[in-house]
Amino acid sequence: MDVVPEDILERRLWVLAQLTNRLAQAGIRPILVGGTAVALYTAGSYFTADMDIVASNRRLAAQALQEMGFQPEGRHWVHQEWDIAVEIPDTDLAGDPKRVVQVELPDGSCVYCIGVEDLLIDRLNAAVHWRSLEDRRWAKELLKLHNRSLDREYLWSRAQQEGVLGLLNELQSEVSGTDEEDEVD
Amino acid sequence: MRKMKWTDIQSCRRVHLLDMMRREALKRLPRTRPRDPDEERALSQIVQTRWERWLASGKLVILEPRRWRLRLGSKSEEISR
Repeated sequence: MDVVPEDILERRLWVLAQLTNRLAQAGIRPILVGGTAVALYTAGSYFTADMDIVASNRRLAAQALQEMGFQPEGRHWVHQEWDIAVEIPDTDLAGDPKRVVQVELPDGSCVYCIGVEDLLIDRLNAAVHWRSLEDRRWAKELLKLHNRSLDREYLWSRAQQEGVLGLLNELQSEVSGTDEEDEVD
Repeated sequence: MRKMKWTDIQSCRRVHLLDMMRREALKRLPRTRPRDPDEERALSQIVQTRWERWLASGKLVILEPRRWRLRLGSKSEEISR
C-alpha cells in the first residue's frame, strides 16, 4: 500500500509492518503489545496515544525507526508526519511466543501481535494491582469477543500464577451471564 | 458560539502529546471511577458490533486461530457496507 492509511490503528499496523520487514533481515520479530494490541483485538474500539512494541534488540529497532523518519522524544519514537509515537518498553514478551498472532496485510507484509490470552493477563493485572476499572472493562471485552477461541487451559493457569484468577472467574461469570441474556432475547 | 477548525484541534493535540512525551508523562492512568451500567452496556455493544462488522465485511479474515488477514483502507470498508 503506497497511501498512508487515514485510520490511526491501520496506520500504526502499516508502520509496524514496515518495521517488521526491516528487522526481519536481522532475525528480529517486533511484537505489538499494550493498548494498540487491545485496539486490534477489539476492531479499533480502544484508543491509546502510542504504540508499544517488544523487540529483542532495542538498538536495532531504534535504528530502523530512525531510518523510517522517527525522532526520539523521551521514551518514545515519534513520526511527525504520520502522527505516530512508538515505545519499546521491553525486549522480552510477557507471554508465550507460540501464542502470538500473525496478521497478514494486503501487500504481503505482516505484523505480529501478542496472544489474546497474554494480553488478557496484562489487563487483569492492571485491574487488580492498580484497581483500574477501565482495564477490568477491557479485559471483559476481550474475554467476551474471544471467548470461543481462547486457550482456556493456558489462560486460567497463567491467571493462577499471576494472582488474578479471582477476577478472571468473576469476568467469565459476567460474560456467561451476558451470553445467556442474549440467548433469551 | 466559538468556532474551531478540525486541523487546529489536531495540531493542538499533537503539540500536547509531544509535550507529554518530552516530560515522559504519557502513562496509563488507571480509571477507578465506575461507569454508569447503561453506558457500559452501550459501549460493550459498540465493541461487539464493530468486531462483527470486521468479520462480516471481510475486513478481517481468521485463516487459522493464530493467523489472520486484515484488509487496510477504512474507505473501502465504508463503501462495501
